[in-house]
Amino acid sequence: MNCSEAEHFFDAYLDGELAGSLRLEFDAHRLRCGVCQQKLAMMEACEHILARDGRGPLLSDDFTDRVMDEVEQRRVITLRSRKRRIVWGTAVGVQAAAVIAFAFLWAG
Amino acid sequence: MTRSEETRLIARAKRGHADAFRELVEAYQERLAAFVWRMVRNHHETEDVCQAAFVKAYESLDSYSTNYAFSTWLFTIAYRLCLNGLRKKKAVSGETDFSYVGDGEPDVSDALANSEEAQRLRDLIWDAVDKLTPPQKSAVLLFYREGKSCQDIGVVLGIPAVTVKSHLHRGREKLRQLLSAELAEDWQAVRYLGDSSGA
Repeated sequence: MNCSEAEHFFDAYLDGELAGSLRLEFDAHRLRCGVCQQKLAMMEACEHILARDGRGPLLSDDFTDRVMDEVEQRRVITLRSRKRRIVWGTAVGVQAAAVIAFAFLWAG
Repeated sequence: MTRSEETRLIARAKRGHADAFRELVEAYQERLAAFVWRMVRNHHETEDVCQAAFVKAYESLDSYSTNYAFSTWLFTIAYRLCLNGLRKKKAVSGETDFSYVGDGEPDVSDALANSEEAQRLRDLIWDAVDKLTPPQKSAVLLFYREGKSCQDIGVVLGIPAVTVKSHLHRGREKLRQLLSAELAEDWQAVRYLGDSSGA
């Protein structure tokens, strides 16, 4: 195995997916190749930093309160529009019933 | 937070218990902020996107499927909001070079690296990460930082798991290339020392 072939298996090696004779070939190359050793060490450092060092900025102290305020506002708006829909639906239903009743009475 | 605890809180939140949703917000805000900040690299935008993501999650709780972790669903919403924000900024597509995104605020965890060497390596790595495309960066962050599977990352990014693997592979390859170029000088020195000691 040469460097370019070994590099094809870096991901699999780093993910612990390299097994059997391929793993043996890879290990044999890795042990005698300083360049690949350095590249792998670099990727391992990269993975470590990505996993442990990726903290973002701290959110504001009132972040949760702001989210909950907005959630509450949206909830009230949704409830109001639902109520409005019910009121309008009922009004339309009553009107329709009145028109039908009037039509029956008029026809009779 | 365990999965059963999470499911219980979501069920209560669906029934209108605000305190249950508050617990979810408190449990996930730090992880979400870390992910969003890496995408947008701006503190105010991070807060806005996180807030919008939680509010949207609350409004769509009825459509949440327990087949996936709440975090996967939350990251899905946040990722779309990030992309919308980035697109509005530059009106460019997902595969375009977003390296400008990395020109934002300095990293808040600078103090974590003590020695000058460690600090340099850390900076190089995060600078390289900032040069990845949004799908590559998201795949790499969700894979390493959140420990998500390719299938879950696929849900977040809205692509098949196979494509996630490809983004991960390309992302790592790009990181390797960028870091190799940056560290080439150091390696030359190491090789030179190795050659001279072997001679």
